[in-house]
Amino acid sequence: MKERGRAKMKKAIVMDPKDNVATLLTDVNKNDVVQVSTGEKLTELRVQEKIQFGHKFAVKRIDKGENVVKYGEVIGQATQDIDEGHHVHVHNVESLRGRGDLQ
Amino acid sequence: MGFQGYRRSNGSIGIRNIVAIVACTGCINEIPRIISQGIPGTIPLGHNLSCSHLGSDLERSMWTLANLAGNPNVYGVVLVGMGCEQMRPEKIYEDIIQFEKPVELFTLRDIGDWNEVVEKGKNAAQRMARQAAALRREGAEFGEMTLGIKCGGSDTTSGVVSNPVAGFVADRIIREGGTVIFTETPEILGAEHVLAKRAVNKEVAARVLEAAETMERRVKEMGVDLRGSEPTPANIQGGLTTIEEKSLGAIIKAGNAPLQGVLSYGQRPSAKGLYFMDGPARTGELLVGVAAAGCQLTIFSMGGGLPSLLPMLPAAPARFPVMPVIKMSGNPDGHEKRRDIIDIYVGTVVEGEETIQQAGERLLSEVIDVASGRKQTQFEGGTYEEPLLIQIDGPSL
Repeated sequence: MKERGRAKMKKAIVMDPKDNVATLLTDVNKNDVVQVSTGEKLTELRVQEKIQFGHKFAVKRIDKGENVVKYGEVIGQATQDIDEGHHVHVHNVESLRGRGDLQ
Repeated sequence: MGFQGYRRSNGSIGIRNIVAIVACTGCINEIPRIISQGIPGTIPLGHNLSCSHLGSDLERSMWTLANLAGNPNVYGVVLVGMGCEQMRPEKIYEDIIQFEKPVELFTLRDIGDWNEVVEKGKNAAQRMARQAAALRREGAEFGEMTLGIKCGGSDTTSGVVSNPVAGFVADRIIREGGTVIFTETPEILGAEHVLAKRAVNKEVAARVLEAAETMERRVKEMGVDLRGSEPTPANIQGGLTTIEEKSLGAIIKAGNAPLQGVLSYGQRPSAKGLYFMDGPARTGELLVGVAAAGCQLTIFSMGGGLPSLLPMLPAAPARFPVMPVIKMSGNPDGHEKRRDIIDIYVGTVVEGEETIQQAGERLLSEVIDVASGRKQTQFEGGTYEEPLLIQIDGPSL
């Protein structure tokens, strides 16, 4: 049973070891344990909310104002503290580019 | 390794064999359509530019039309003009002649009567279509291919699967001596520094950074937040949070080769290898731009979501007969619904059934089959025609 459970494991991918977010390759529910691959390395992490396929979650705590990093590069800035396992998206990250609204 | 194509007089290789009926000005888009009617193998190419545009927009439209007519997939060209337009039909004609293909120009100014322009145009088109039909395909090498790569309907699977698969093919074509062109200036914002590092010299790096800076300045001048347009609502629904994230995923489609140069919209590369075209991401303008740059074929790398469920390409003419476009999606979510409207599915990588390399080999086979005429892409089957979109920067008067 345990082996079958493992085969069905929810999966996510970290694009670069410097990243603080992972991209989900399946839908997840709160408290699901997700297998996270960073290159060849596999780790497990519990997500803290329901998040849909293709969306991101924090693989470590991200403080408000801290850079959100994917592909080893900055993809935006956290607008609030984001705890490990939480959804990272437009509600808590803002883009730093093309912001004519900030002039 | 290579494909089968039509050898042109100037040595280039076409993978389709069409006769283009080109309008010099958008005032007369109906004329190419009438000329083309009833003559198989001919296609009408009207467009959105006329004397209602200015300066660099007019210049760009002229070189774009000439270079588009020069695309290796075009056997011959019937050019029709008013004779009074800002686009200077004789200049476009002279530029097409440089490609060493059959070209004939008919203007209302010289002929004096539209019915006669149509009649002469039809005769020329019929003659060229007969000559084109007599040609046979012959062996060609990847070194003779210029491949366009675009991404669209993007989500987070684009950067994980379909763009890396496209990048695999880009690297292979370049390794074999061919050329790859990617573009979409708004979608390098946040990734321009990565591209600049791959430039072959400081000038090329500076041009990449300048292209991104100019695009960002123009957005800021409008006083708006780019978000909502880049990424689009559909991109955001698919998990893309910022333009930086979208761009970093988007540039993966161009593979890992050194960046040889930056092209202006619709212009031809001067050598082989990887080129970036400074131009819009909007599909309509983009396809015209890369076809004018000489691409015989374009790969359209997609995510999932609503745009991927369209039987046509988002924001594009439903039919763009100058160049086949291979639609690829890497999102397993909803794949069943997309089965008949994409050409190649690589979500198998997400499902753990294939590696990027294996999917890349499969895409390469698809490229060879489509290039060699053994396969038509879904996009080629479209019937709706509308004027081509050429990039415009200035006002419409």
